[in-house]
Amino acid sequence: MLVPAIATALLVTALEAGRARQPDDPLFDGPPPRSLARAILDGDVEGAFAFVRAGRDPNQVIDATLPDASTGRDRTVHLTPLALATAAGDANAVRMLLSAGVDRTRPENQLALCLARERRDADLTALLTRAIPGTPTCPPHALD
Amino acid sequence: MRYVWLVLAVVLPAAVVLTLILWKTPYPISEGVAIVEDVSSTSDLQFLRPARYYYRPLFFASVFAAWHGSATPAGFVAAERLMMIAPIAILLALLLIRLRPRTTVDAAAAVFAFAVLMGSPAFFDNTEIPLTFTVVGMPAMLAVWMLAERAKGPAPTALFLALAVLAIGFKEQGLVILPVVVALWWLAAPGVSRATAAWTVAFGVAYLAFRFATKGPWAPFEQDIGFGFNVLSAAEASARFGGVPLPAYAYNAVSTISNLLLAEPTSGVFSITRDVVRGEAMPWQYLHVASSAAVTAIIAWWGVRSVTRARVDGWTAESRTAAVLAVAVAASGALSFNYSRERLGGMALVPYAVASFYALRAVLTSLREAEAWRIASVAVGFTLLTGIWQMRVVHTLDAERERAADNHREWLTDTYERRAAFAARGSYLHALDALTPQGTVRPPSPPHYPDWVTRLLGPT
Repeated sequence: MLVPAIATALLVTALEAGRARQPDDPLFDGPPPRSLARAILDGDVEGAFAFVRAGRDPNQVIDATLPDASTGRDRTVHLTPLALATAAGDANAVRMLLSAGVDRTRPENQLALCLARERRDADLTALLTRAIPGTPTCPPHALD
Repeated sequence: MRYVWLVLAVVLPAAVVLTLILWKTPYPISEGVAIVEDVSSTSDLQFLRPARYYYRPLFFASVFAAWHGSATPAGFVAAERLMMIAPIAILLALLLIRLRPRTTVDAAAAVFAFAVLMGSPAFFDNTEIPLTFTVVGMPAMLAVWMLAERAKGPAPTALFLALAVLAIGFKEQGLVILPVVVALWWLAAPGVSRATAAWTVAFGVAYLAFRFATKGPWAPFEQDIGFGFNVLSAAEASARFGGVPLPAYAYNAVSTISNLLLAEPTSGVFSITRDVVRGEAMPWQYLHVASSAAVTAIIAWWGVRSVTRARVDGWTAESRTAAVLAVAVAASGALSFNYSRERLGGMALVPYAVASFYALRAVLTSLREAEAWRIASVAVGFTLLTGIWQMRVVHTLDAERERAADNHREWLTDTYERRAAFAARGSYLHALDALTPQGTVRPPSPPHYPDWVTRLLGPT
């Protein structure tokens, strides 16, 4: 009867030792995301924040590949992380970037509100309407 | 003594890992910052006012002391983590002293009791930083019980009352201690004098009189309640049961008791039953119910046998355990009348774990003269049961990690909106800004097991 308990003690110890030796093992935290854009598109809020925490400017435009709703094909876009997170419909990433202090007065970031409206995403539209000062002028197709 | 070391060696890894997880758990933004705001003023100690439904003066006093006594926010967070780790460590140490295994059978039963304690949702639900509520009452309860069982005569009444005040001051579930002390005196526990029992009753009556005399306008239901397969908001519950709330109160009380004894329902919702009916139940759900029901059945068998013998031979520490469990379970249920949560079974979990030790030991001892096939089948059955409870301990550790990861995620995503929502509350914003750096440090995440392991252990 002690066998399962001893096995569990060994398992718990081995898991912790493994975590200490290889924290990036897929069993634990996994390898860090390759890029800020990848982290946002994968919904990896913690991974995306790690880039910002490491000094990456969250207002800088980044390249990413997004599926085009009209053609179904992938297309490359050049957006700020906030606009990309909105285009991906990731409310947590949007909240994280707002919390991290993105510049909400920059037109590139204000595009996020246009994207939220274009996506008809009521939650993100409400959040970004509160966050972004003034009324940004939106292009006919925000991703173009 | 070597069996104590054996049990310690087996239990220590999980206890140490739990400590490490808690030490790296971010202080939460949700509820945590509001608690700091509540204690931020040094002139208006509003948390001492008894009119509120939740009266936890010692809990708030401990946060007050940590917040105002720490030189830095990091110091405050360390103090809060220690305030969760310390009672857990004391509880585990007291349990080992209480069980004091002297044979191999004792050691097996003691290891089992530790798994029952640490693998129960009533334990996990009480280990959420900074909510050091019942987790203070649990070791206080065990300490009171050990004082009551000490062989060298009655312990000082003041000690009993001090431990009761400590437990109640952190959360009123600590009131469970009072009937337990009286029951122990009634059953001739050597450490409880008649004076202690009398003072305990007097204190209980005075405390209740004080609470009801100073109470404010309390709603019939303070929080959401589970009912059948659904959750009713406090407003819905008031509208539906507010006129005659007693049946709903009884449902909540029985739900808390049933969750402790059978792992179902959870917070009043029969979620496992619902999943079984819909054909969506996972293996871990069957394992939790089956392992809890098995332990409860063994305890029931042992309890009836112990009490029957006690009526003839007199009460012993072992037979009194059955009575303490019955009283603690009933009192915990009664105190959760307003809403049922897993954590509200915490005070009764302590005697439940101790009773599982005696029950398992009784089963194993009764097999000494049995046939080989019977011994083998019981051994296989109990090895399986022990294995399931060990899996539940691993699940507790993973769920603690997930809670830490959730706290971290909330700090990343919620600060902007909270700053906007609480812009007019300076103390809140001050605490939010001070605690943000610790919240953005990523804690270790739970392991990403293969699906089949998650289906056995349970989701985190």
